[in-house]
Amino acid sequence: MTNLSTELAAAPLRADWRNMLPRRSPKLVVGAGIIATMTLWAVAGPAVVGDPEAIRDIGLTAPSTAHLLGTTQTGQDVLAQLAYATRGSLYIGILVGVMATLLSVLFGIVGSYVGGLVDEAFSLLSNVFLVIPGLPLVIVISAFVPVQARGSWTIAAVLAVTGWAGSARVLRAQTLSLRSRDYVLASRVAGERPWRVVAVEILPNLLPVLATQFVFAIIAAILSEAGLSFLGLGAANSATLGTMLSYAQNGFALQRGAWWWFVPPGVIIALVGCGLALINFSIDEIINPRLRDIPRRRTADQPRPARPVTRTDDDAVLTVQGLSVTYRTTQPVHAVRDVTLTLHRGEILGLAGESGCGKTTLAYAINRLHRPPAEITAGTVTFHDRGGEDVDVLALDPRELRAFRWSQLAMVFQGAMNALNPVLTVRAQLADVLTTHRPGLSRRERHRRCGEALSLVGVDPRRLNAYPHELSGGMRQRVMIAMALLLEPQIVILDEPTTALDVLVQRGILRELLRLRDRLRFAVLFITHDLPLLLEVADRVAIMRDGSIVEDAPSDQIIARPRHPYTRQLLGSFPSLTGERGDFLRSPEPEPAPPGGAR
Amino acid sequence: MVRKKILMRTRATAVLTAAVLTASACGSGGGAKPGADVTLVAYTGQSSDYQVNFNPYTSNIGGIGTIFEPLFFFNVLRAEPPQPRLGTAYSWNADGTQLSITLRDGVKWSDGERFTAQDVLFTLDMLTKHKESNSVGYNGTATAPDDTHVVIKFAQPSFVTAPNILGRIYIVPEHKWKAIANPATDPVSAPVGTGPFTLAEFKPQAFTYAANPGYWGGAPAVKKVRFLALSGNQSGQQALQAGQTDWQTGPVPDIKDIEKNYAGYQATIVPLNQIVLDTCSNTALGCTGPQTDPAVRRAIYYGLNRTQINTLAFENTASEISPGFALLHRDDAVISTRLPERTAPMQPDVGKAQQQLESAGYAKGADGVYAKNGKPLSLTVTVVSGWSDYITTLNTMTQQLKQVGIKLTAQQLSWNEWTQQRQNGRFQLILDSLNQGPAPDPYYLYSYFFATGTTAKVGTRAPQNWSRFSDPEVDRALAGLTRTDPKDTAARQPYLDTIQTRIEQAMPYVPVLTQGTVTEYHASKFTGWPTPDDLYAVPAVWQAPDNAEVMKRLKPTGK
Amino acid sequence: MRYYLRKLAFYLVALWAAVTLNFLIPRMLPGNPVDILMAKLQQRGGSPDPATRRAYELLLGTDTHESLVHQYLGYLGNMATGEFGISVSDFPTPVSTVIATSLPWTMALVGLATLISVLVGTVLGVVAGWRRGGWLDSLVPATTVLAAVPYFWLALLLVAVFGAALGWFPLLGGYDVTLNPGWDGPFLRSALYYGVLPATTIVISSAGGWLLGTRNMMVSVAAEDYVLTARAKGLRNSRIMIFYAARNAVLPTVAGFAISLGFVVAGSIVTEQVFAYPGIGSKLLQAVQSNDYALMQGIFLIITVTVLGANLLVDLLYGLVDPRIRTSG
Repeated sequence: MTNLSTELAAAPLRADWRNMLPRRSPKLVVGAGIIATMTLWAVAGPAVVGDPEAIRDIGLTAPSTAHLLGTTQTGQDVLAQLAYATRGSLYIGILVGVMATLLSVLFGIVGSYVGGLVDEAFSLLSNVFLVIPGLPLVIVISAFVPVQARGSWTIAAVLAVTGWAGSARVLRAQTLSLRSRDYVLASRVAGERPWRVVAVEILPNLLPVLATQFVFAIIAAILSEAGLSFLGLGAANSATLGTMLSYAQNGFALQRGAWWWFVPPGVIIALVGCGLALINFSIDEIINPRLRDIPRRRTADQPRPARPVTRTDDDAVLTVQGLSVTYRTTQPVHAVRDVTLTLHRGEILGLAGESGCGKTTLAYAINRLHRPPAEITAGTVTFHDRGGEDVDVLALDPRELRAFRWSQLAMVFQGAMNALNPVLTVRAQLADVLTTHRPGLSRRERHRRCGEALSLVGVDPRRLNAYPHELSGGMRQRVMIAMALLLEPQIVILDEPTTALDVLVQRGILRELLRLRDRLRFAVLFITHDLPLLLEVADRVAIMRDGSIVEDAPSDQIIARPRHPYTRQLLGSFPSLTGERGDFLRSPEPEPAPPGGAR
Repeated sequence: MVRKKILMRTRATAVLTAAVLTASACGSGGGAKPGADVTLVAYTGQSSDYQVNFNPYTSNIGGIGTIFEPLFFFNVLRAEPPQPRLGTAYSWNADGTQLSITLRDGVKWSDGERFTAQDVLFTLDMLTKHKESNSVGYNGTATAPDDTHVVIKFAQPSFVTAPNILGRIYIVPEHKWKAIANPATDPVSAPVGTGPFTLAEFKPQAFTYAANPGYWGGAPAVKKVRFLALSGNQSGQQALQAGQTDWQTGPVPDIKDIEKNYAGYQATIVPLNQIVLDTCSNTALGCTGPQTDPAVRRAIYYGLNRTQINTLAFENTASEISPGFALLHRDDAVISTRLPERTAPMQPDVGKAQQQLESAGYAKGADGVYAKNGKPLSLTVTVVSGWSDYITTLNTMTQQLKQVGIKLTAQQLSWNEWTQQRQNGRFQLILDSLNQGPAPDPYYLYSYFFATGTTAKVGTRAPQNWSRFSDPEVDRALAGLTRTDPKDTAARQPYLDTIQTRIEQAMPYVPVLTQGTVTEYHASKFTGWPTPDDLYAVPAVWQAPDNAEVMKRLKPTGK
Repeated sequence: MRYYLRKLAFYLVALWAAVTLNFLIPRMLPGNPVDILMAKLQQRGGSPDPATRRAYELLLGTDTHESLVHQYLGYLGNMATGEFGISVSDFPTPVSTVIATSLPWTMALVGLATLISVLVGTVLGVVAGWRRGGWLDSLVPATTVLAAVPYFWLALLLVAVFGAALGWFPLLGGYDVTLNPGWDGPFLRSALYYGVLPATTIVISSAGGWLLGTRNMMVSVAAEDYVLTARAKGLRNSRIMIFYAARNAVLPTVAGFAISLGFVVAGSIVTEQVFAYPGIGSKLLQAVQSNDYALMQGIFLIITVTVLGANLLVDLLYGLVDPRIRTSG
């Protein structure tokens, strides 16, 4: 999906630091609101409520105007106790959170940045602490500490020491991946001191992860402390939500139906935990923007009446007319503008252009593989079946679309590294095409066909049982091609099929492709930025720039008489192996579309 | 992919199976089986597993009273003569150095052997040989002139030891126990006794007694008695609520309306143990801290709001206490008239309390807490965690004494820790209770808790006098009581007066309240329970041998 | 193969670390636990024979001038043979017997509950992550709230509602105490019946974590190229969701099992306390309350070994499930 991001990169982004702040989503608002309220309650509450320890003769009473949350067994005001208890719990929670995070920063970030033996040792320590069960360890340690010494700081220290391991592991993983990023290596090469590198390059990028881990640590600390206090092992003379629950159980609150004593502490713990978790969600969305809630766009998937375009000539197999695709981001990006193309049977049509010009978006849109926020805003895509029928691809319902895909139109994606499912065998991935599209076949027949398909592309059929990671890059690409041809489709779209491969392998695959085209007579839409390659292989070439087709002509015409200035620029930019270096191509701004929308 | 399908199918089957099993389990489940003998289910508060050891001298489920019987039964609640069990009559010689006991004839052990004086002799000799089992302190020499008589000789006048010897020594069969290598430690898993019950079944979480058909007093009407172990300190109340236990002792919420809240149950409240604050009071024996000053102890005494404590912590089941520690009502006749107050004040007198402190040199600080020589009056009180009523009492006391200007810090400890602290004297204050002796006589309580003989220095294990109190006058009075025949009330009174006034002045234990031991019982299922009108035994399920007396008298109603 | 060996080696190291920690803790903290234990034994009527004292010393430390290394080796020997000494709170049962009778209960409860929780959470997470924006997405915050609720509070609520108020389930215990433990129908039924509420507590509290993790992974995976290929191949939605997306998404969940198991073990201890369930968690608490140090040490060790074993099992399973690990080693 790298093409998507390059497409988006065309739109100017806001300054980096502002991108680090969480987006204002409902989750963040609710979460922050809850935490703010709880913190206010914990900080200011004790000042406004009465004395939590004053006993009264009334004993256990239900909520009333005098005591909003009723009283405990000794007549103590529950609301007052709740304020002090919340403060106590939050205090310990934050204390432990800070201590645990500091420990995990030490063992996670510093360790993995320094690398070598230190990293190995710290990592082992983290993993060991991770698998040793936390609460039993805390219980055992607390039991050995004499009661007098069991203050808040002791308990906090014990909880921190047993709780840092998970965060350390996460931080280490992040640091390791950042450490080998280019900008870090660059500053190291430039001779920057290690601490500066850590502080300036690594830490800012770690901040979101660090923030989530800190919040996790607080949640875990509050819950653990509540559990400890409930068991009677908490800090002596402290008032936390856990001790409140412990007293409530001691006073038979449950049996006497004294819900007002018993429910509020648990609710507060849950609210605090929930609020912190919601904040964590928002931070997660910074780390992984895909997690953002996608607003439903009702227009994208509306069924529309079929409006197939009649074929311009008998040989046409696909007609794209006036297709426009827009990314509905905060600043809409018009990735494909009013594109019209015709693909003829058995023809290889090349689609060339620089990165970000919209060619992949176009290819996806043709097959309706585009996902929100991409949206087809205008135009038609019509498939002209061999049997004479014209099919409006954009109007197919989901079932028809599934049937159409692969059996009529197949795609080979760029970088087969990731295009094959890593956990299924090659056989399984080839076979499920047949299972879906040719359900009548027997298993033996299916396997035979899979073997045949592999032989077709020059791969040993014994590789059927292999997993994708066991194959070389070239072999994987051949497998992809084999998979694409299994159902003998009428159109094959190739999106940069050889870009990631070395020249010799490239040659081999292209030769294979041409051979297969000659044999099976399918049409090919060949998308690449490598114009010279295209000129060799393709029958026609369409040049695309900033979403529009600027020139569309047979290849020999493009070489001999390029009409559009951009085409000429493109041609001239490729250095020849023996000749001049070529111009440096990168136009600073898009050329305004000529009036009349000429291609 | 096939793997995934199988996984899904297995998952579904597992869920379905679990659902079916749960549904069927809900249908079946425990409940009284019709036609079987009615079982009395008792819960003593036992939370850990029972160990199968019915040795009455080493185990807490020793079959005391149920399997093994004493010679006589002393009802500690009423001033009445003891009732004959394995013994039928006893008499002292004039100076209390010889005790003659007549034994019951025609008693059989549960394995069919005859009970004779040899068994009594064997038991007494065993206690002499194995000091660890001799908790009653038997130190006589016994002989058996014939099968139904035993004569015990003592070196000193030993009148006061009668209730212990006659009521707290449980006779074991010689023909079985002579084979036991070390009766002080070896467990007894198949007990043979003369008592009204035998051991029917044992499981770690429940053991069952069965009525002994050959019992000399006639087989009891209740054919089975089961004792449960339930963990969790809420389990007693929950079991009661669910009607799963028939006999329990301990506080449950809303005890006042017991008939409404627990249908079919009633409760008996018996004032038995006296709640006190143990204080480590004697500097001569190594105590340190503000509580060693009698003024501080008296200040606490006057500062407590006993009515409030009774309401908030005990649901008004407790009652007044005398500072001389004679049990009110039962011992009314011997309460000293020389005591300044017959009972401890139920309302606080903050002024008087503060006066006590000020005349001892304390001055009130800015924070409201009294201080002397720069040291604030701050005391720690320990209590056993899980004793909810005592914990509530402590919380209440802390607030009450805050009004006076004394700072209390409560500390909860495990029972083991707490016991150790108490025995070693390493404490300032402990919320505790003083238990009665084997007979309806305050002498025993004084001898346990106020005698120099039962105390020790701080750091050494004291048998019972935790507060390290030591007063030669009290010791002399106790010695005098030991020598005097208990029937001679006129001769005893001067000694009792001395003891009561001395301990009221020194106040090594600050009296709080007399605890009402609350027992809940399933009145609709069984009749014959001890009631306030007829306290023939202590109704508490854990009090032995009284609980055997109760079990003997109960009759199932058939409902 | 190398993967398996490495994992085994790691867990051996972790085990050694736990055992050593167990050895060091009582020696680092103040107090003289052995004397306390011997005194308690005496109180209970036990005769402190030298073998018992030796076992305690090795477990908890002695103030004689015996070298630490010497003690350590003796301790390791005792650990290997299961000689933990005699339990003071369950006198005169040896610690190993106490553990042996209570461990199966916890393993059954926690094992079953975790299994159900993983299945429920993962399945819901897969569906929620695949179908963005549906009603299932609203499940996510709901389960987050549940995960933030303390285990014991949830347990108390369940007891109050289903046990006390509605009376559908027993209030506490592991089985009907009037039955004899054994492999017969009534006992197993009773055990299952009594286990419903504790298991429900664990499932409700921990399913949320699995759901969230799986859902997040599904969202990431859904953007991968092979999923795009699958869509382009015209495969059915359910097939893509299961074989392409979920199959890859649950891998990290399996890898993150260790962290989750830690929370479950912690939660189960408190849950057992609330339900008075006869498992190893309540024994641990009983040991702590009675200062039964020997039992405490023994239980801690066993819990650790069990957790390590579970993690090892899962790691080995991961090796089976992810073919990239299997072949590259």
